[in-house]
Amino acid sequence: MNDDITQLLVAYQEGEKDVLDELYPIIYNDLRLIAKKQLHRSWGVGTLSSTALVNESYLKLLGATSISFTDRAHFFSLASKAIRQIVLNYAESKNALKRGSDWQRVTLDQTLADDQKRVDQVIEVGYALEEIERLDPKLAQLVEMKFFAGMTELEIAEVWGVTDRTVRRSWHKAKALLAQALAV
Amino acid sequence: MALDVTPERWEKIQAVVDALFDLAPAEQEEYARKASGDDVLLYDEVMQVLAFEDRSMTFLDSPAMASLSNTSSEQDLPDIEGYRLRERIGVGGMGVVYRAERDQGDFTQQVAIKLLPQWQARTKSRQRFRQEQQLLANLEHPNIATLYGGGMSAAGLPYLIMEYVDGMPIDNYCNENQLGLAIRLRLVRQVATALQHAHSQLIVHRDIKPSNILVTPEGEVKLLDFGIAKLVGEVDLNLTRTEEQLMTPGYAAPEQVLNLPITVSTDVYQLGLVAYLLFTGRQVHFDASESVGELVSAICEKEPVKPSQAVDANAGLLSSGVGAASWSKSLRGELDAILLTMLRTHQNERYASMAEVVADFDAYVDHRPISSLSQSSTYHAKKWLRRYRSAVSVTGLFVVMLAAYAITTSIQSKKIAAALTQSDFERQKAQSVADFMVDMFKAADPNVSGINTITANQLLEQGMEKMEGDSGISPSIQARMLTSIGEIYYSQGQIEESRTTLELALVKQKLESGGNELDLAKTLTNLAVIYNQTAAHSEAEQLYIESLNLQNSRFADNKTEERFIANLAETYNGYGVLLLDRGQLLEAERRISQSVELLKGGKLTHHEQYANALSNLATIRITQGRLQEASDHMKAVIELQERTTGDTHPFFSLYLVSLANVLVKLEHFDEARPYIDRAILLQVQILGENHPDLANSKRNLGVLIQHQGDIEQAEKELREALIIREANFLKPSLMTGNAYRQLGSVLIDKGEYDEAKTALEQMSHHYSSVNAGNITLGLGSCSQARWAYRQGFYEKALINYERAMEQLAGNDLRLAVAETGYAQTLLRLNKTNRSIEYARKAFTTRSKRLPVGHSLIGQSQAVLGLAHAQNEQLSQARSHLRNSIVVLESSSSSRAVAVTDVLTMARARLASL
Repeated sequence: MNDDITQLLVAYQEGEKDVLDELYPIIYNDLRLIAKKQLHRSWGVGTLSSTALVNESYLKLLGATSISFTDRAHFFSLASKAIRQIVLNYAESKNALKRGSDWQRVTLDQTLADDQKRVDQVIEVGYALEEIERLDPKLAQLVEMKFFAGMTELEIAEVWGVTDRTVRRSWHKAKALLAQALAV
Repeated sequence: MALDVTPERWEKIQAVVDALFDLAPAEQEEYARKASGDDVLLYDEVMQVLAFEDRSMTFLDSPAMASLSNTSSEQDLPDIEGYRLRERIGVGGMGVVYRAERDQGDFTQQVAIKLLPQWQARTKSRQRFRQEQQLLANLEHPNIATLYGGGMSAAGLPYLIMEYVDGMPIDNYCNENQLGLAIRLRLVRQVATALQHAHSQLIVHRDIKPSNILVTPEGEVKLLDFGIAKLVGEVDLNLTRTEEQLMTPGYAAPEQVLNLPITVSTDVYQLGLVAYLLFTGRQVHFDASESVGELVSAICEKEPVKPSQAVDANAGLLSSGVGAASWSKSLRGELDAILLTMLRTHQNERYASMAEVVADFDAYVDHRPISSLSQSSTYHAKKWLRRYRSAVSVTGLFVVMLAAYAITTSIQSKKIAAALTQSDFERQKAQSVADFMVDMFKAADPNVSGINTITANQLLEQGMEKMEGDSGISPSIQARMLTSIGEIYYSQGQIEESRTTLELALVKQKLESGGNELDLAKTLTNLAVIYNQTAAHSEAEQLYIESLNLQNSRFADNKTEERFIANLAETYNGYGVLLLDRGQLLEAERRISQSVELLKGGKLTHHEQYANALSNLATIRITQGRLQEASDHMKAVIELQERTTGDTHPFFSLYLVSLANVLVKLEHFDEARPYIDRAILLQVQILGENHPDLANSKRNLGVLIQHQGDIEQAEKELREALIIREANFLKPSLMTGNAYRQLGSVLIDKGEYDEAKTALEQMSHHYSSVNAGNITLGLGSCSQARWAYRQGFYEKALINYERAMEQLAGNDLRLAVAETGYAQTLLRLNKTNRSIEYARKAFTTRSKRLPVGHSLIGQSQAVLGLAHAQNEQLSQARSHLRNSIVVLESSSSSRAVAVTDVLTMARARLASL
């Protein structure tokens, strides 16, 4: 498994872009399983640390194998993309929970309005991110890493091999774009 | 979307923005203008990005998951003295729950704090909140989250401090860990016992659902959120029910939906919903999820689909490697019945208490009958009665009524009093007893709505307590009561409690001089039955004798009394069974015949006790080889039983098996087969697939099939019988030993001697552990001898047959088994004269005792013929061989291995002469 992923990463690195198709599902599935475990703990309310998620998955998938710096960057970009998908799915499911059949499971007089707002926000960011991807894939990746995967600016700087100042500037741009995209 | 820039355009914009980032704020504007040149729009666009104030976008700075997880930021958390609130972990029916920490010396204690939110903090809710606090403080149970305390927050909001549970909701836990049905059942049972405890404190939960039931990493259940629990029946809460009906729609009981009073059975219903989800992967009204209206009508009007038919093949439950078909098979029958009883729309049709739910779960696990399956409430009590046990006699009526009351609470106290009065021969005393019983029921009813029903055990315990504490009750009435209570315990299969109670009754009766001797006799008999069952034979015998003496001394005065006769017959019968178990055949026959004659003389041949005694007589006839009589008796018993109690009576299937057993011995295999098939069908239906009775039937079926020559199938049935027996009985037993003997025999037939040896060793182990009688041991020795013989270890076979003959000395028909084998072995060792001697003895016995044409006669005769042949007495040899071949070929056992073996030899020998 580990070798598979490393080799796939190397291949990807060497320009075989289509290996992404093979790599992504592996990472995605793994993250999803870890996420599911985390979500199902604690009082029935999902608490999921996406940073821990990435790290756990990183350790599990790549373990001690020494992979190059760029491979690492690729891994995190893929993982963040996967987590974005997981988080959005989760948000959608929470949404469904309030609207669909699972409303049966919630005590009637709960204060749900606040939750609803936050769920909606996350889902909207998900849509807006598709716009930004078209415009500037690097910024979109940043949103994935920081907002969805919960990586810190320092971690992202390390993965990208840039200064944290650069990350901070990109984040500023990304938020400005998101604010515009969400404005209407 | 608002982003109507192209990538190219954005490239331009951000190049300028990036450059601007390196400049001091004062220089930025000028640079931007310069860089934009004629493109005025670009300047605006650049400045829009640069000057973007992120106030509105702060939520992007914390990870998305955090906002989805309800983790409030620090400033949202309320201030509670002494605690650091960490995060919001849940929203319940009555408030918001936070995880909080407190430093306790060297370690940090984790707690959950439940806070009533501002908008809910109205007087009424506060009032209720305080009640919850008091209520929960009374609840201490390992499966209920503990309440540590409560108070008012700085902002004036009441809060509760509770045990923090690190756990997963029960449904997720089960699916995540791919748990099988047995463990799911155990978890549900844990919840039920926790609720049972809460109910005993007069607290109902009212909002049971998976998210309120957490399972810790250690696998322990913790019940959370008695948030909407209230004191059962405490009406004066200054709130009307309609005003605040807190519930969870998918987990609401009909009475909640309809605003009817909430009782303990509401919890039963809700737990039923949870169990249904865990056992099937579906919610009960899973198809009614469109609207509240639809759900309401489903809850109130629709009978749930049977769990076994609702299993969701796609649900997580099936990932545990079990197919949907086998999963639903395990639900079919008892679990279906239990869950549907929990989920009845009408409260009074559900289990009346959580204790009953627990009892039925336990009964299911222990393969005892469950109460919800019973067609009538007496079924349950009767279920426990066996050959050894006191049948439901006239006194039984009284017991059954009480048990039925305790189980179903469907009978009014008045009826019980009436029944007591009618069935008792001392009105005065009966009245006292009745009053006492009625008092007991009243005492059990704390006048609180919802807990108007209690379980038999609680009832009995309370009865015991009250009796011990009440000096106003005379010892004789106490003893009468205790005897009745002992019988109820007995009828429920609680042997140990029954024994203790009856022993106490006995002490009381003996203390009282001039007490009622018949009462004493009754207690003695009951206790003897129990002693005999627990293998305390000599104690049992003493009691039987004492009981018989007492009853016989009063015989003249009471011989017309039906109840007296029935009791006396029961005592004779029980004593006979004891003697039979000890192998004292003649004594046993005498006692059991006395029982039969007594009932005949009293014109009680329609009485259940008569069927009981007659079937025991049949058992003796079988042992004596008087098979035709045994067969006739059993047919009479079956006819009587079916007529009086129907075919669902637990005795009925046992009688069918006994009859089949006799018919097998008569080699009427085709006649026997339908009886045994019917018995198995009934047993599977009534008792499920793991009941010891079924094991016995399968064992007999195995023997039947072995005689018909299908040894593969015979082995299969016997092995199944053994699996059931081993699963039910941890201790060695005679019946298990017998099953091993039969299995050993089939394996010898198959020539699998190593496996046969193992089976026979198991047999010996069981026999010696229970001190089996000589006949049993003799049959065991025969099996061991046959094992040696078939492998050519003739000396060894000889020794075993000799031992068998000693052991079987008292029973000619069984002795013939050993003699025939012995003769056969002697022949191999060329001891021809002795062989002829033993073969002739066996042949004579069998010819005399068995019906003409029986294969056993043929076998002995064949051996006799072979021996003569070897002794060169040719004409005798020819005659015996010819005759035996005819008998063996035409017998219905002609395909059995034991028969074909000897038949082949006889034919070959005859041909050579």
